[in-house]
Amino acid sequence: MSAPAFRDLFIWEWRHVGRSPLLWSIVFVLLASFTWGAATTAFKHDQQTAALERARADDQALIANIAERAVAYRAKITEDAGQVAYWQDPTNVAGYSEYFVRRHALKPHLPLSPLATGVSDLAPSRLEIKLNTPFGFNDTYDFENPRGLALGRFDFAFAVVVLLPIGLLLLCALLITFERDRGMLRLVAAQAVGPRRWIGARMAAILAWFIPAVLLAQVVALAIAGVPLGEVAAPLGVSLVLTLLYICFWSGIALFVLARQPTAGAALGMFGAIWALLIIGLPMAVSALVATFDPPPSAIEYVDAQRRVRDEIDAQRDALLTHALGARPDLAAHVHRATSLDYATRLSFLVPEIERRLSPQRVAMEHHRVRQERVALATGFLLPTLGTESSFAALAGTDPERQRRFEQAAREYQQQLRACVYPLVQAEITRPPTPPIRETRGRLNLPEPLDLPEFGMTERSNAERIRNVLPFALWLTLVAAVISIAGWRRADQWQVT
Amino acid sequence: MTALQLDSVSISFGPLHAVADLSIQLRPGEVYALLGPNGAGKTTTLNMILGFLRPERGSIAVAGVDALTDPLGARARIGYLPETVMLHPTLSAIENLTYFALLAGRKIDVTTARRLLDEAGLQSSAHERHSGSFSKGMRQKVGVAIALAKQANLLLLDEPTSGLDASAANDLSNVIRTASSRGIAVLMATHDLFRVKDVAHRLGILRSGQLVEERDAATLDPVALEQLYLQRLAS
Repeated sequence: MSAPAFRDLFIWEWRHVGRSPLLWSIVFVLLASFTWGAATTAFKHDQQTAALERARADDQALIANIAERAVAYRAKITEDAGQVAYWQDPTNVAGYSEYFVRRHALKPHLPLSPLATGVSDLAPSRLEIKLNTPFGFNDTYDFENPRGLALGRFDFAFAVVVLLPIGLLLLCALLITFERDRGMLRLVAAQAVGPRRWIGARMAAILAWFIPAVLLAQVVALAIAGVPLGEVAAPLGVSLVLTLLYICFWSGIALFVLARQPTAGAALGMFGAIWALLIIGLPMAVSALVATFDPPPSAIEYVDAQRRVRDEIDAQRDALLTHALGARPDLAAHVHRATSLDYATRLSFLVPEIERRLSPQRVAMEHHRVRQERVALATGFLLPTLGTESSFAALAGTDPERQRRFEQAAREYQQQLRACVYPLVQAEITRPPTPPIRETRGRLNLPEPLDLPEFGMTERSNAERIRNVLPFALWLTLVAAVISIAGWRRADQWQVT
Repeated sequence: MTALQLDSVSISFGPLHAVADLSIQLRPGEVYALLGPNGAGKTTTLNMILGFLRPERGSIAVAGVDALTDPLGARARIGYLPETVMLHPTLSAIENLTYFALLAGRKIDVTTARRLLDEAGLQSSAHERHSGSFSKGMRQKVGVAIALAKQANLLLLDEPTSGLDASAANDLSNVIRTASSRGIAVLMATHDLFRVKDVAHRLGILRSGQLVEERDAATLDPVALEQLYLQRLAS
């Protein structure tokens, strides 16, 4: 007589596990969680997409309004028409530069965005770009993601990273410890089967049901959330592989604990401790360490620095403008006009000076942000829970790195606009300060509104996005394999005495 | 070939010598009763034979297979009946039997399962019932069927009649006799002197891990057996 074949044992276990109400209850709860998480994220992203459309429509309406105003300002005026302020005049290049150059930088959501909320509920996906806003846009939101290393909102990624392990561990703990808790383990152990084959067959049977059910639930949840599955086949496939590897990681932990055949209570206690450590304890500890050893630059200090620099600039305004005109060969002959420049023209010289003086603080903030991203990346490798969530966000396009590139693109876009408009504004210094042509209301030094460039952001391709998460996927494969092998080796003898 | 060979087997738990220098030999078909009070080392002996505990000294062979170097091979030749048989409550007697037979490396069909359950004395009407509703005696019978399904060379019975009514205990005695007649050796650890006299060929008395008496059961009547047992425990 020989030991039972693994295949025969697996088939019996597979049939038996498939009849377990516990399995289907857990799968149903996970399906509901996945669907809720993906649908709420999709709902939020739909609202954001609608806001992007409104911003786009606002831009078009402003352009149309400027064109309409320009026509009115070019028209002959009536006898009783009075003067108009220059900032209302789109044919005055200075007023146009300050009050009519306004565009939105938009970051559209990717089709797979319901996979993870990422930073999309914290960082804006539309930024208003004006010429003279220091550093591109008003960063009135929190740059730091306070949940980058913590739990996050109840989205699909949360359901996978946090809830899925609970379901899997519960299933393994209750189904694999059943014989011990029922007092059957001695009878099992007295047969011609070793603990590795017995536990392995049951674990394989659980996973043979659990993995397809969970992956199917993932696809169904994303489909319900409106993800066009055909369009995102490749990243969706990678997200399924990540979920599979994440299940393997936790099943490896389950195997490691259950290899010593504990009671259900002991196994659940151990699983609870491991879960809390990996999901809550270690991320919080890393977060605390990072905050202690590399605290973010103070936002209050930055606001104070902005106020201080603006006060300095105001105090030194005339001197700065005189120096700026004198330093430019094309404007040096007009230094005497430095004190009589209009507000918008002054800003074209002073705002770059404000940015120059604030740049140390700004660079420090940017560097801290990049360091945080690196720490988060490294922590993702140490803690597969965080790594999996980050990888989902990267595939969904809601990751901090894409947000940072969007903000960089917004800043570059502002520089592009300045390159178009500032030379025209500053060229007016060389011309005589003629009063408005009396036949029209307009200044007419900008006869037609400028055809300004549109905002553009270079998006990473799906292939690049996938390439970015591959190192983590490979690492997770390795970690899952090592833990599973360790668990397998640990199940070397029956614990029945 | 002997069905079971224990040579100078010893094991300690810290300062406690649980089993000391124990040697027992069972021929095929022989029924051996291991008597002794609680803590005498009976279950520890069974655990060592089953490979659940590794002796510090000595050797154990089951039907010629070294239980220390090949515990799985040895277990494949052992049918084991624990003191309290617990079964999958949501499975029927037949399904339980099929499962445990599978664990023993044997695939049996429903007909074979019914025959084995009949041999073990489980009434036919219980074959398809979920074992969650079974009494201890009925579960014990399924346990016997599991042991028989294995077609083992050696049956290990741990307090097999504990908690059974007289009828169920008698059924078990019949099963032991049948097994013996088929050449299966039986080692039973028990307190039940009456049952020992009824079915055993030989008996050994364990005290504090040592075999202090070994007798041919036929040479003792029940009263003499009881006196010998009490005498050996007292001395």
